[in-house]
Amino acid sequence: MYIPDYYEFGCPVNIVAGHDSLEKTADILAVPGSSQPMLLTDKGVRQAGLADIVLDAVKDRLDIKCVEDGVPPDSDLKVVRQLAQLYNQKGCDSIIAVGGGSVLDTAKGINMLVSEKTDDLMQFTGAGALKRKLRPLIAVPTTAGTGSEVTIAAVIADHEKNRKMIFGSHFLLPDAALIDSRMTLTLPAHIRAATAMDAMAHAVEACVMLSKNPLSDAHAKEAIRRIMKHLLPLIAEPENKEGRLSLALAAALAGIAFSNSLVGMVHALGHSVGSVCHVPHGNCMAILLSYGLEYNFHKTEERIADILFSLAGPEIYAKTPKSQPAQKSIDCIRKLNRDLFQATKGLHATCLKDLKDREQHPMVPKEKLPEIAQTALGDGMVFYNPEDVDYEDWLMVLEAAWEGVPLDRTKVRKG
Amino acid sequence: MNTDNFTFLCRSRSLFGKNALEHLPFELSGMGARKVFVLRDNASESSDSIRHLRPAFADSGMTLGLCPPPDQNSGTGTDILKDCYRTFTGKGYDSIIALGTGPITDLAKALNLAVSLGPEVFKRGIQPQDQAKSLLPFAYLPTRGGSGRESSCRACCNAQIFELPALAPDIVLTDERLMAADTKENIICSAFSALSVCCETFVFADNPMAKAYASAGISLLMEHLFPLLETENEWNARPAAVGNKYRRNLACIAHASAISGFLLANSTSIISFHLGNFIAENADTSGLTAGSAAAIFLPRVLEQFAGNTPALAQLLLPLGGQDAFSAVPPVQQAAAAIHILQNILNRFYQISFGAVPRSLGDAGIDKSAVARLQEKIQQEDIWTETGISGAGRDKIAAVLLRS
Amino acid sequence: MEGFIEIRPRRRFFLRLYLHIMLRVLGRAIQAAARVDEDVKKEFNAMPENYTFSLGAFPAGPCMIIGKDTQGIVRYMGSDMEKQPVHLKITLKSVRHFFSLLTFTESTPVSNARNRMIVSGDVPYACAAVRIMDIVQVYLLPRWMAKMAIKRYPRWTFKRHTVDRAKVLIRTLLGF
Ligand SMILES: [Fe+2]
Repeated sequence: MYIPDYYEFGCPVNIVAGHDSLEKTADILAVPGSSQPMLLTDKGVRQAGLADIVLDAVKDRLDIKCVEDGVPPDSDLKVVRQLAQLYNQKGCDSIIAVGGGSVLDTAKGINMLVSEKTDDLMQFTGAGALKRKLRPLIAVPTTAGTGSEVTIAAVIADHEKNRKMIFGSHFLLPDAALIDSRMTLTLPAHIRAATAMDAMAHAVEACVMLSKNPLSDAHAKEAIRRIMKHLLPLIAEPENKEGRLSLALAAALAGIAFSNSLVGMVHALGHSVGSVCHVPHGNCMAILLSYGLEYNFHKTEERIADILFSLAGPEIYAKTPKSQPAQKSIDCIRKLNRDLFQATKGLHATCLKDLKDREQHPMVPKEKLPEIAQTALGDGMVFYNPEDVDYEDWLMVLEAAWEGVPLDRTKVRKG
Repeated sequence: MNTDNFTFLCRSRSLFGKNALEHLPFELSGMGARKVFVLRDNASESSDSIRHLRPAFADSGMTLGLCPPPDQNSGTGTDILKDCYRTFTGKGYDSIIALGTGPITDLAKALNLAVSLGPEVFKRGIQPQDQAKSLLPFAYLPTRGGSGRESSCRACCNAQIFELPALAPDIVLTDERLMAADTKENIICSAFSALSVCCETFVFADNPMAKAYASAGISLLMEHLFPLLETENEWNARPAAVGNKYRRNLACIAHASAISGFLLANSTSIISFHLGNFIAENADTSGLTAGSAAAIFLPRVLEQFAGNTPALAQLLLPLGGQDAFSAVPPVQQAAAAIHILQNILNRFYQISFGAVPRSLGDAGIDKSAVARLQEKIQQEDIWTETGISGAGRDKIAAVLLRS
Repeated sequence: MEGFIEIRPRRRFFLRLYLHIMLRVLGRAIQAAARVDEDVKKEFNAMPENYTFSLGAFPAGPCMIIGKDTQGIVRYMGSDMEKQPVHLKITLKSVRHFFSLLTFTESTPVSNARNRMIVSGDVPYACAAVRIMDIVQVYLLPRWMAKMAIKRYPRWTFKRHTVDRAKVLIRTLLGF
């Protein structure tokens, strides 16, 4: 077991999981004495009927003051301000956030404004600016991927000033995360695949990158095992509610792992592909994960080898010769991607050039790669990457991922 | 098939390792603390922990209030608590550090209750409306192994038991420099009770979060307990110079013990742990510690309640590691896990020249004593809080006999 | 209560003295490198006018401020946080952690991985600031020491290792 010289670990979120965990909302809110929540979600989630499931589950015992579905795909300062005003006008006393990352980020933003009774978010940016508990916030994740229900960070964009505000505080964490199998029933196959691969990237990066520690490893490995066991069967048979719950829990486990040991170059590059070419985060993760491992291979071979057990199971682990497990781990992840490509009838892309938007136009034209590489230089996650990455390195990784060919490890520059 | 229907909460953050102590001022001030009230026990006094605490707070601008270690002769627990309460409120403190294990953390939790909810709380008990209240920032800094209760959300004060999620420490900080020399019996007691809690949670909890904590705890114990106790050749030799290796290993045991406390806060029915405490209180033999007793019961409890379940087979993974697990055929894994647990006891019996018992018989509890204890288990209502039914008690009685 | 004592742990003089000296050297070296080294110039050029960043310790430990003045010239601006607005703050959680960092016993990436650093401000510029400090450390330190302080020792030209390094060192010493 690898124990670093120093590490921190914690996740003070009450995890409530089950096929009917939504019904426990009223009880959870009753503890801090709340009964008049604002239900926050986005249009997609509402159209999928998920907000109604939540409403049905809680309406008998809670007085829902308002249901707001105006959260844009990436959180926005103006929206946060508007919704905070609404919260105060309607006399809400808590928030139930139903959705993915941007819904939760918006909810965290609203919660800061209404709890601190201000309309200036700027003063809370950076780490540790909040000093006390905020009002009750309950997270109901709907994607089984992002893990944002257990992360301390929130990113809110200020589109007027064209910048991103980053918040980090333990007080931003929701009081409870309700993980309910009903929330992921209607997820389309390719989105299920992509979001699960996001969770996979969280878990794998948590095991390989610089802040790795025993507690995050334990969470991450269980997440990997569950994704490998349930993801493919679930694409074929989404009605299996045990599988859905298990996968949703895998996302939460991976979220706990990476919020404590942070992610590295895969996410740094993924964020950049996402912001330059508007590719959904999960798709970037699925494609880039194996490249991140290959790039760091010379520094982390042992760590990559260590996750083979969780990826492939004890039998394959036992039969793999001692010189090969790390390569085998990478192969496992590539094979999963190919299987998902088949299972989703080609909707799950395995290389950047295959990514297509709704009109079937390629999303990542090759001439965009330099711009992506430039953006990646400014992503903080690379701090946690074992090997240094400069502009040429980013470009080399991007070119391989664009073609879908393995990285030539001899070309990776070593210190 | 498990259904993953559960709730799990671990309120505490763990800070572990080198220069961990220097993180404390930042963490505490992040919770709004300026004046820190420091409680410590005699063990922490012997390890000279204040010598490390002071410089860690240098340049932080915070004020430390150092209480002397409570003296057994200076009065009852209530007197000490009242004394602390007066000083704390009189001088305007706003946060608590408990430096040490066991009773000192109970005192710290009781003090936190008194200063946060008012001293009436000891008369009226915890009310439902208290559940949501937050208490003052509280950091627990172990100086030895501990019993696991320190990091749970329970406080024991003058035979009164208080349970409140917010009672769990906000921060559990394990720094090697704070580790004090300890007797081997104590270390084994800590390690064995942590092992029992982690193993039982791992096997019985349908809860991946608890299992993750448990497996990390088990791995820590398996890798650091033997090196810790084999640093000296002779069992009876006094803990001599406390070296860095010793401190590192003991810190890992303390860490595992704190993890077991997180698990105790989430589960009421850790059978071997409760049974171990019950025996340590009720058996007529001295020298059988609660931890040792729990470790004796652990394999029997697992056999009795988990039998040949996949969960028991999975236990081999944290106990033996990935290589050992994948080497053993699935049908033999459960037996192999039990075998490892039993072997730990056997090996300690050998290296301690019989001082660590392998069975109740070794501890001097004969058949007739077992029969008396069995009766007591059937009668007493100590099990109601653990939620174990009548049938369960019969099984426990059987466990007792086979141990 | 008998035996109760209240203390306000004092500042640690020698630790702080060392940090003050090192920060002064580091600050001047960054200023020098910004005039000599092309890569460092490029990083600074990407920053807006008047942009400043600081490296310091929680809560009010020794610190240094680097920034561009109104003419866009990079300057070491001392340690007075009140005198000018600081746009990007890199803060170590304690003076002790800062000491480990500047005695090169704990490298920047390791210190960051151990959650001993907090960054408030724009992340892209924080990345640039770390890259600048990496380059400056390569200039200042002997190879074996720099190898411990950064992730990957760069492959520089002979001129950069000798002539440019000499220029940076002389400018650092003289402070221009
Ligand atoms: Fe992600």
